[in-house]
Amino acid sequence: MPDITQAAPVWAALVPLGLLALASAGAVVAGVSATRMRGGAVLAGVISPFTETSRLLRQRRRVPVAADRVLWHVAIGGIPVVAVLMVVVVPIGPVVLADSPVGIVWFNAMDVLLWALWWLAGWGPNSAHPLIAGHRFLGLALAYELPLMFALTAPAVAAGSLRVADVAAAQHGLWFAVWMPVAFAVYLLSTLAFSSWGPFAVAAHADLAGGVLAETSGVDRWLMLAGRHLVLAAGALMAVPLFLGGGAGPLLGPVVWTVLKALAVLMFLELAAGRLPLIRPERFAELGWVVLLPVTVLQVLVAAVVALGGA
Amino acid sequence: MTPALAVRRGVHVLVVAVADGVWVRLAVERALRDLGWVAAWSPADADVLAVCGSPADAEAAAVKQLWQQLPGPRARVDLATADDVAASLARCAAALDDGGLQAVLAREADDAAQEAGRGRGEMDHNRHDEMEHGDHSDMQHGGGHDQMNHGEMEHGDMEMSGPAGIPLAEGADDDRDELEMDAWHVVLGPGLPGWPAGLVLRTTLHGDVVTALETVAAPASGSPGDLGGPADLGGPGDRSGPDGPVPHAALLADAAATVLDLAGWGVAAASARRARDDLLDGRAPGPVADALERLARRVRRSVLLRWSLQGPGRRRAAPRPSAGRVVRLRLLALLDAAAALLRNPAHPVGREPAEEPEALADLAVGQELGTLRLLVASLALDARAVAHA
Repeated sequence: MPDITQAAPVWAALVPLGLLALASAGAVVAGVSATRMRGGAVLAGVISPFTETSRLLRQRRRVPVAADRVLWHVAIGGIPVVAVLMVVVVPIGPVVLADSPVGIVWFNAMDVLLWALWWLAGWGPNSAHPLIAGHRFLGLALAYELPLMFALTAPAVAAGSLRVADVAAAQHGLWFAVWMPVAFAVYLLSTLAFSSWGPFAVAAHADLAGGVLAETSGVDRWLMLAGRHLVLAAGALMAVPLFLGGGAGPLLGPVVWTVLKALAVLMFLELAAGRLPLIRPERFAELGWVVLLPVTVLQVLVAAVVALGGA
Repeated sequence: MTPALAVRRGVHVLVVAVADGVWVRLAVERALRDLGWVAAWSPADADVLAVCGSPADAEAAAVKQLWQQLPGPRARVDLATADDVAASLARCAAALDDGGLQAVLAREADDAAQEAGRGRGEMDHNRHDEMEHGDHSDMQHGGGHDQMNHGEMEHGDMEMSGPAGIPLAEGADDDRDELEMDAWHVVLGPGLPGWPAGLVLRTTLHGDVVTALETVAAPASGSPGDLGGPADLGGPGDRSGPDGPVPHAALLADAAATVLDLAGWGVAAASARRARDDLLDGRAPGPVADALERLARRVRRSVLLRWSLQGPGRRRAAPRPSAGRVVRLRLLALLDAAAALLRNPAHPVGREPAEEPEALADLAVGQELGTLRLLVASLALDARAVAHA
């Protein structure tokens, strides 16, 4: 049982702020990347998330005719909430907000909630393109979810625990990312997919006029765009205890190492946008079921054999 | 550049090109790049509506509906020619900051929304109270890009009206895959990102799969002189007038950029667009041709693009090329043709009779809506409207 303390509930107020700070760093990276792509200056890219925020907060909200307001706004507000709920089980150095014995299952349950939220974001506005985009997300989700579940299972099997802190502590010396590269790669792909980002942004892309984003404006749009960066940040943060040895590292403290590792993963994820063509869901379904699912199952098998051998 | 432009950053502009507005669109997109502004993907995302060309009646109605969907603060600019683009956009930036003007526009939007709400309330009493209690300030006519469809159906099929007078999907006559499917109609037209000027398609969809396609309006071929292309757009020299090989190559690069954008490959699209802008700026064609050839090699080599568009290569040759394969081949042809035109201005590329938009239906039926968008973009209709004049 590793030395970990559960933070007092009052610290819960800091979790959204901390995650927002991490997500802002990610949004800056994405902004610089997108602006450089268009031929703009680096500085314009650095401030672009903030100019976009100020633009959207001053914009009026528009609701299409006969929109399903309740479900739409559940989706819009739900995505940032799910991102925050994802990270409550992630230990930041020696502290964790919720030291759940089934933290990995909790994380998985939260990412499954995103199925409903992205689909509702498509259903809510009562408009053709978002509706199709919402269903597109489900098509993608059917392909990534099972491989993701096995990718989450592999570190848990190797550590013999579903508690996130135990998984981090089990990687003394050798990160799971090193000897479970398949699980790590599938985890990163799935993080992009459940964030609807990069080559998996099929539900929010130009070919459907912005998909689930097509009818959002003002603060609604800000919440969805910010929600994507928050979910990406949550995925990057979770990768640290699962695959990158948690807070372990020389010199700097465990908190700093956790944040640095999360930033590195997040940067990698954010830079995926625009650098690769979109992967159409029907193709990814083939890959997910024919290739990724068997190899992640094998990965779990390898982890189990190693864990048994070590026990 | 006026001070207003230096202040206002990251403005999102919905660029709508009507039939004769291709050159104006290129000038606007160039100006957006210089200003660091962004092209919007939908009216809800836009601060500014930039109408390129002179809309005919039907187009003007569609443009009006798009304008009504801008959430506000909003500004609209109508650009018949490419002469005045930078100054017009500067005026838009000023209009966005003009509180008095925006208050008037907001009231206008609220009134229009209330009127639309009343009209719909009469059509469907079940939803009447929701219309009244709804956030009336934001209620808008139409639900996005399918707005024209809603308008059209209401008059034709009143007895089928569903929520708020919007017709429900109807049962399809033919059952695909032994599944009973609902059929619905979506009109694709101006205002969609990367949509060719002057084209309006009416699609019948089963879910997201296109089952029928009808061309409501096709781009009319005008003469290059009518297209609003000023002499300075093409740069100096007789080779680069709006109907010369250099502008034609620029249009082909523009079409390739659109396909790449819709395929989600932003970096490659940006390269194609840079080549286009360099040509229109009057840069030497040689280095641009090099860049386009490099890009074509990169696109040709991309395993991911090939796999995503046309699936794994090990399949046996189908009797007919798949839609995705057609898109990829056309994209490569566009890039090759642009480079070839720059190398050899007499190159006959793109001058042969091309497929008509009607041929789309053969390829698009049975495909997902996104594939239809790619197919339309790969036709390079904007380039052809100019080249085949």
